[in-house]
Amino acid sequence: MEYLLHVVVLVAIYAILAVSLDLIAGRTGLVSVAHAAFYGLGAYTAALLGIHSGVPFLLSVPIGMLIAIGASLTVSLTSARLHDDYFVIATFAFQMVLFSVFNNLIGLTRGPLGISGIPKASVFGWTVQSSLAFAVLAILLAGVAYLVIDRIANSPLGRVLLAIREDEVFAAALGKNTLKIKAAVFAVSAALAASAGSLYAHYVGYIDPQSFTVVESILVISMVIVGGAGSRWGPVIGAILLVLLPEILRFVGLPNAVAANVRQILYGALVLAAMIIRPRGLVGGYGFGR
Amino acid sequence: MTSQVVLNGVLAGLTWGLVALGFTVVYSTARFLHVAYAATFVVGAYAGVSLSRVSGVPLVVCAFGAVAAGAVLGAAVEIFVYRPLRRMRSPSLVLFLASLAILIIVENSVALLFGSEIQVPARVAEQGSIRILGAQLSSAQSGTGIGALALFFFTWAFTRLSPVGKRMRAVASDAELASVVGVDERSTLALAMVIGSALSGASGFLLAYDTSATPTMGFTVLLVGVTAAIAGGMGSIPGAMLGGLLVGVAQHAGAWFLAPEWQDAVVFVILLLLLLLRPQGFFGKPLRKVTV
Repeated sequence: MEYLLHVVVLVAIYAILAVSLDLIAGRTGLVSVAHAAFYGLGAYTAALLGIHSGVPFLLSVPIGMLIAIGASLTVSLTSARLHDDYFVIATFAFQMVLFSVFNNLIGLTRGPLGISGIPKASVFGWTVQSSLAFAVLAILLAGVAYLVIDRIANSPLGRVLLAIREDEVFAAALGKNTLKIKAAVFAVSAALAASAGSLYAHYVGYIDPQSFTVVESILVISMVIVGGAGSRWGPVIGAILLVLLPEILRFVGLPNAVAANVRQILYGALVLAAMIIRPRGLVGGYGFGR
Repeated sequence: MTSQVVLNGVLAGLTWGLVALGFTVVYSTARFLHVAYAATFVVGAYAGVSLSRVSGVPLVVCAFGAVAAGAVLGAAVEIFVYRPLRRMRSPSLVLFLASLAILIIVENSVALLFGSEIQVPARVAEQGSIRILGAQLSSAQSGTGIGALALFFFTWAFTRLSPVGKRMRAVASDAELASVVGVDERSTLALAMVIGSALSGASGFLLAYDTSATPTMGFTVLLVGVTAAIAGGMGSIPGAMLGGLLVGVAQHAGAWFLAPEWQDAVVFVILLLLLLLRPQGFFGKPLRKVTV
């Protein structure tokens, strides 16, 4: 039962990451490899606030989100009038810089040692102690994230995002301020990723930079692609699938040293297969133009 | 001490220039982010290093092995992945995602086959150093630098003078117009891919010879190379080397004035600033979202 609840929490966290990434990657066509950086920003903010100032979960989440929003501007502004390839490069640079900060700013983040002893989440003074309670909290947060993305996606703004995805120059010619819109949705996506990070920090009680590498970003991209980018349920299905996959692998009995590599090869193979055979993913969403 | 920092930076920069060169050759012709470039880099590095661990294999053979391994992998990716995707009229985003997937697969396969630990080649020639302008230059550094320079000039001459090179530049400049004039885009792209991959394999070995080879070195090296390529101007061959030198010096200056662990972050911050302020670099054309 404990194990099942653990899987549920993981799925919830990755579902938040996947749907928020899908907002920019699937709906707006802007692939970002920086998602883990924002995830990490939220986690480290929650961890540091929790340990040094005893800031409760309900406050550390929005603070983390604000920091993520501010940080996201460095990426969105750098790629203002440039080809989307440069946006990808900018997210790549941002991800690597942030990992370097997590890993090297030892005075603040304790570097590779990580931060431990993160207090449990507390909502209005009531500490979330049991696994069941946390699973409920996680699902609630995931539900909120899903609803936010869903409302944006099915609004007039959502249609503008699709227009930007299909032909940004045309959308701009129609009078849409594409830079502002892209910066805005990128900020929303970053904020939600940060909230997932806060959740993660309070759940595990310990974080280190290795959870927030570019490989983690690619994992989230894989979830979005395999599930079906730009679709309603695709990212969630992708999250469920790619969280369950390594758990199933665990039962197959691969030695731990090898398991991580095999996992990643599987993710890579799934994405490659998707690109060649079915870029629309399982559920059938945006095929990235093919 | 600054002369030592600059010298180290320049020498490192020569290798970065080579990395940037290979990437810029592929990107300017194929026009998508071929991130699997990092995979050919890692494979080249491991091939060269593995050969060097076999006794009696001369260094030059190891270098050739690295180049060949990179080129073969690049050709395989081009034939088995990129070409079929292009046949299906896939946009550059799809090619990029496929490339990313290949990078993940290859890097983890290398980790599985060779272990995640760092591989250090047996030191073949580690004697002697020269003094230039008040700074020390080890024989390994000078060998690496000379190798990088040689490959750079060879590539430059090749693209400027040979008919094949001219075809590559034509496709890079305007693919449609080139095909109208009779340039076979498919084979030219394949050639660009092979050349770029060969260069990445070579630079992989050069870097591994100087420091070491790890399965995950690809990401950092790729991004540093991209920074150098953008700094010099994407598509410009002398620009790639100039960008590389700039990046190398910035890296070592950063290591000296801040701390060694920040040297990569310094480069990536430079990249973000470049994208913000001067995305065309030294010799590139001003970039626009679309050109009519």
